[in-house]
Amino acid sequence: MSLKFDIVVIGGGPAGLAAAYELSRRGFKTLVLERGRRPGSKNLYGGRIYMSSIEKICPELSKEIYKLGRRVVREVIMLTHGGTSLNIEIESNDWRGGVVTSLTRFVEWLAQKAEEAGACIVTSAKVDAIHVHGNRASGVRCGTDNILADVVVDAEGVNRILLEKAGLVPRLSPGDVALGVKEVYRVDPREIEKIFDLEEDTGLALLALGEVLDYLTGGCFMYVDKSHIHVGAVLYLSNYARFRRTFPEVLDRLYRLPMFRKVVKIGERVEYGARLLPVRPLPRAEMDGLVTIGDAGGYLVHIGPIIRGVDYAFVSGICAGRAIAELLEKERRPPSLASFRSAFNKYVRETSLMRDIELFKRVYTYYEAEDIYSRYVKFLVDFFREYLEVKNGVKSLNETLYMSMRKHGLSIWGLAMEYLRKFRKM
Amino acid sequence: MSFDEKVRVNAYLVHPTPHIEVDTAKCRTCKTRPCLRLCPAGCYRELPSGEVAFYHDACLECGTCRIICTLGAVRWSYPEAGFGIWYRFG
Repeated sequence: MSLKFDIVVIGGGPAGLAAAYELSRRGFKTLVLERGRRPGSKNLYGGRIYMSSIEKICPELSKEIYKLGRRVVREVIMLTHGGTSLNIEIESNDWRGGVVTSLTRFVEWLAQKAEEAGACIVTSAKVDAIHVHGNRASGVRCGTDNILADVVVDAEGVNRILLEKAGLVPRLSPGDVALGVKEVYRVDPREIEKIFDLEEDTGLALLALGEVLDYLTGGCFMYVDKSHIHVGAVLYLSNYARFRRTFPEVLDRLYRLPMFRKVVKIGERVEYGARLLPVRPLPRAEMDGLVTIGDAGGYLVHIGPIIRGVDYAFVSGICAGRAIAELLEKERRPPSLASFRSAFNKYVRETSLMRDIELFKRVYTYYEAEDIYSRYVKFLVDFFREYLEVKNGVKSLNETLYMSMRKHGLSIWGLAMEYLRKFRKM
Repeated sequence: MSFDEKVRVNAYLVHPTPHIEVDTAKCRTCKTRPCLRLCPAGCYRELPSGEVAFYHDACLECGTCRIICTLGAVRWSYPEAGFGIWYRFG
């Protein structure tokens, strides 16, 4: 059967639904094809949505998003080594750390918004191919249906099966991605507030590096949500050959740390999931009639401890929707790639998305350096331990600093050179 | 905790036909077999005979095996529409 829509969106996740919401609101016939049984049933993330860019482009929706979870008011960075953890904690009532929420809850909410605006969302619908005629995308094939559209919006996620099949992007390589594995625990909200000293609507984010992941590039995390706690580990696949454990082992070892042990003690394990996340800027595939957003479009920024996936998926979806709507209204014919790009850039400029992607392109290699996760972590933990622990005589600051640096092959001079060579670019 | 215990809490709609095809003949020549450790659901197992076996029912659809298999033994696709893992929390 052949069907015709103004826009067909592949994938009902944060990016695809944001685009569908924006386009339907502007009166365009928009079809979303989602392979899961419900929107959100195939989506997974760490646990936090940063809010600053969403607030800028959709102030009306951001108020509702805050209600879906807990506002992060406390961040903890844990450096772990030799059974000791050095915790850096920052807390402020006006801290802008985004929202901790369940992604399924967020996506279901967004799907409802899109449907209220008039979008047609079809679930259990897996797209088999993108139709390309000449140099223009003209629609998609989904089972026995051919769906024609003025614009195809690809929001298929990080595994770009359709774009690869169409020969528009290269295959992913292990260096491009990290593997994130997580568990969700259900906990009574009152218990959460008591144990973590939180209010009814405030939450916390925690990140652990070093020994917890055998000093490999990556880290472990914990996000405290309304009545759930998300715990997991992220491993850069560039060093997968040196990873000697399995993920169940990594998680179970993580639960020996006091902060994590609490979660297992008071919570009931309800889910175990995994996904890949880009850690290098992915090349973008676009052509006349084809727009890519979210992870499929490479709109994810992973700079050290900060991973902006869902917020930039959402932002890229909204801005793509605005650009397509403007062009279809003005030109009354399917927009060219060049006109789409300039309209998209105009809308996205209100946010930090493109600036962050440029920074990501410049600095991503530095975060792959294992030194950060091994030598630097070991040095800092050892230094503080040596300095603060009273075993025998009290040691001077200078002496301790010097000894700890020497132990881990670091020197002030070396660090200064390293800084000049690499990190000032940030 | 084993792989099986980890995935036990998940909701799945398992399709009878595997969505991933593994050419286990190629695995015979593979010395490192990273899939055994890295597949977070433990879908790849080493049999007592030394062969690699693949079971699709616990698959989390992450795509790791597609990327780390250097021998091209993995023919990867998503499950049939509506099947596979059903994340309820994400």
